[in-house]
Amino acid sequence: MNLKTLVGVPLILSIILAGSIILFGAAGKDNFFIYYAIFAFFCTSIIIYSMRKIIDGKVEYAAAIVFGILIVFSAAFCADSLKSYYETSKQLSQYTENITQENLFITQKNNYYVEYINYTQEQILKYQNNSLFLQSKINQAIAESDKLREQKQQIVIVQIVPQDEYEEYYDD
Amino acid sequence: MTKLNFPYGWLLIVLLSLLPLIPLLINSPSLSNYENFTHVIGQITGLIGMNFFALTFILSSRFKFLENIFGGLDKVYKVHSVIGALALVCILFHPLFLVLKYLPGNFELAAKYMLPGGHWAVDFGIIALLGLILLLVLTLYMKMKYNRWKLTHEFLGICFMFAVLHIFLVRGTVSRDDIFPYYYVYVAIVALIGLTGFFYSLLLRRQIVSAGYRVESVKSKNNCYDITLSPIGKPKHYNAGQFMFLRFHNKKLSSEAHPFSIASKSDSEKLRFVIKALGDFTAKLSEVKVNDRVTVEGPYGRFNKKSTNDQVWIAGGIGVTPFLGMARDLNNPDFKVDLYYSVRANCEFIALDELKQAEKNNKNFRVIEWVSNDKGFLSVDEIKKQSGNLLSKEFYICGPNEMKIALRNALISAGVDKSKIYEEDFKFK
Repeated sequence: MNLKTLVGVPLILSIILAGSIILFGAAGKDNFFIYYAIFAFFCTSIIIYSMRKIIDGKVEYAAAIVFGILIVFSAAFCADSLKSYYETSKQLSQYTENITQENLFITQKNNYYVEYINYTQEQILKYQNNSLFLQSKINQAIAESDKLREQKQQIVIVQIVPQDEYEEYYDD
Repeated sequence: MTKLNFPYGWLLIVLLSLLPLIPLLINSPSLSNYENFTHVIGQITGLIGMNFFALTFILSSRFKFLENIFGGLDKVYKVHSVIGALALVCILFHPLFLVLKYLPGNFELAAKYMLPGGHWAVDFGIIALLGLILLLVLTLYMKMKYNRWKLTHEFLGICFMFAVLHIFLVRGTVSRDDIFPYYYVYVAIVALIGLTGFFYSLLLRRQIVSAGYRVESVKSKNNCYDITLSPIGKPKHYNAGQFMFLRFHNKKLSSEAHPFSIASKSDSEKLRFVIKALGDFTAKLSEVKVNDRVTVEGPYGRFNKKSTNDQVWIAGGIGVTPFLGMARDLNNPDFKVDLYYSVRANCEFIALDELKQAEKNNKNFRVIEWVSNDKGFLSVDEIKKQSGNLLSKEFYICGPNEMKIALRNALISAGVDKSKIYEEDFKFK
């Protein structure tokens, strides 16, 4: 194999691959068709130029140029379609991811509220129980105090204290 | 010197290049996974490319042992060209395979990986790759003057240094694994091989293998320069048919060394070169003056096998120069030698009188003049008609590339063994 061919074929192949990857990854969706058409024009020109010794005559040259233009636009169209497909699928996957994350957030929030409500209910029950207990204790205490009052009223002895004594005692 | 039929040189290069793949494959994870598979293929192309790249510098260093392995400096340079091309191919596909693991899911990450500005280790690799592409495209596809081409070719050493920085820094930073144990030993060996070859060619070779000569005489005839050099110090030892690189110390000539066939007899103290003005450098040889200093590097080449079998020498135009010295070396040999000297027009014969004199002195030596404008191109049938049975003879061809290819193919078609056809290619560019 000729050394020029040995280098030329892999070189143009790698330029096409590397250029396509870089354009797909780095260029924006707007004007992608134009960017890729310029790149395809560059690659096709090199290929046609390298085949100038094989192409024989003006008619063949003209045919090669026409085919070249067709290839450039077809490649740019295909690349643009692929880019659109890629961008759309990327956006869709992004949306799906966002929705999943939002769902996850809502679920987490729901879980929190459910837990909070459960906790609150528990607390209410606890307070209810406590208040019932306290009420029973209060009732018990009232009952006991009534009982004590009754007992005190029964042992009251009326003492008659002399006036003088009482006054002395008062001054003190 | 015996011709090496088995391509030991190629075998050696393949073994040296594939050696680091053994620890890589032992250490690599399961290849059934798409990501791992493309990643390892990327690493393999990078390693083989780097090995080839380093070996090209050794192959262009003109070490004598390489001539023995490959059978002549012209063959070494051919291997150098092929290995250089293969290095580029491997290095081209190295990043492409590495980014395949991100595809088709994440084109942004793949693009980021292939563009500079991400990490120094990767940026060095990108600089090396772009430099390699640029310089090899210049070498293969652009027509430029030899001195400019030589200058651009020397920049490949700088590309290699960037590539070494890349492979040195990539482990532990960008690479997602340790590549293989003792990876830094491998990096050191590759760097040592490549940089030794590069710096030896750039700085040391001139001092080590060159000798100083002075121009003793310059004769010009038919657009050819017959230059005789006498040694300033110790003369060089050589065989007729070999070639040397000459650097003329003359301000009107470019300073790079050019290869020329020796036209003087073996081990003669004075060196003689017959040079035709064919290129941009040789066109300026009229500026060479007596007493100009010339740095001579060599000798190189294995064209003259010093065989004792019947031989056919075929010279096309200026391709007669190695045969001028070889004819002077003949001393009434027992074997027959027929020299077919082909030129386009009668006026293009160079030193024909010398060859006729050698014919007179050696009964087994014949000179057959061939003017292609009158008789058409020299053919194998004509050689067979004049020299008899071809199968028992050895063939030495020197001349234009098209002539060499046509005659070689015709001789092989006529049943001559490939190993009996010797030729030398001066296309070092």
